[in-house]
Amino acid sequence: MSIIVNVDVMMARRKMSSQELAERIGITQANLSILKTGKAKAIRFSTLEAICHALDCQPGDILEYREEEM
Amino acid sequence: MKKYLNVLCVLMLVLMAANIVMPLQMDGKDFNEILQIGRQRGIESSIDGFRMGLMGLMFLMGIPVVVLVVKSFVDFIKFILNINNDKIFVWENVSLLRWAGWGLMSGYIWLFVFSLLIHESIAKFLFNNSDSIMLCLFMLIVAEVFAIGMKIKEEQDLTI
Repeated sequence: MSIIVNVDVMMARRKMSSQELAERIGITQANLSILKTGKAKAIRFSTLEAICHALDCQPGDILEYREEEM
Repeated sequence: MKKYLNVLCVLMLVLMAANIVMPLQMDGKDFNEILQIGRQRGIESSIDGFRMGLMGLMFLMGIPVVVLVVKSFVDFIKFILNINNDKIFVWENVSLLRWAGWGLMSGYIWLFVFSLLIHESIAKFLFNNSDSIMLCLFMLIVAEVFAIGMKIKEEQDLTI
C-alpha cells in the first residue's frame, strides 16, 4: 500500500496509548492495530476526523504517500 | 428463506444425479449397436486396435473421474450445510463450489471424449448434454460471484 499511516509517531508525541486512542476515536484496538500496521484498505473521513481531533493534528501529519518500488 | 433454498438445492442434487446416471445407462440395444459398428470397421485391424486401446485407457481414466464426480456431490452437500449454519461468505464455500463445478465438468469431458471414440456426433452429444454442462458452468459462475463478494467483504472489513 502506497499510503502510510503514521499514527504511532503522533501517539508518541501526545504520549497516548493505543487503548486510550481507540476509546477516544470509537474504534476497537484490533482496528487501530490494522491501521497502524498498514493493513487497512481504506479509512473513513469520520475516522480520520476523530483521529485528528484526538491527536490534535492535521491529516497530513498522519498520512504519507510513498511511491512503491516496482 | 433457508427452507426455500434447501428445497431448491435438493432439487438440484436430484437433477445432478439424474444427469450423471442417465448418459451412463446403456441398454442392450445401444451396446449391441456399438459392437456392430466395431465389427463393421474391422476391429481386429491395427487402427481399430489403437482405438480399442484408447477406449481401454478411457475406462481406466474413468475411475478418477468417478471419484471427482462423487466428490462434487459431497462438496455441494457441504456447501448447503454451510449455508444452513450461517457460514455464507467464506472462502471455503468458493472452494466447494469450484470443486463441485469442475468435478461434474470432468465427468462430461470424459463422456465427450468417450462419445467421440464410439463415433457419436458432437452435435448429438451437445443436444443430449448441453443443459447439464450449463449446470456445471452455472455452478462455476456462482463460485466466482461468491469470490467477488468475498473480496468486497474483505475490503469492507479492512475499512476503518
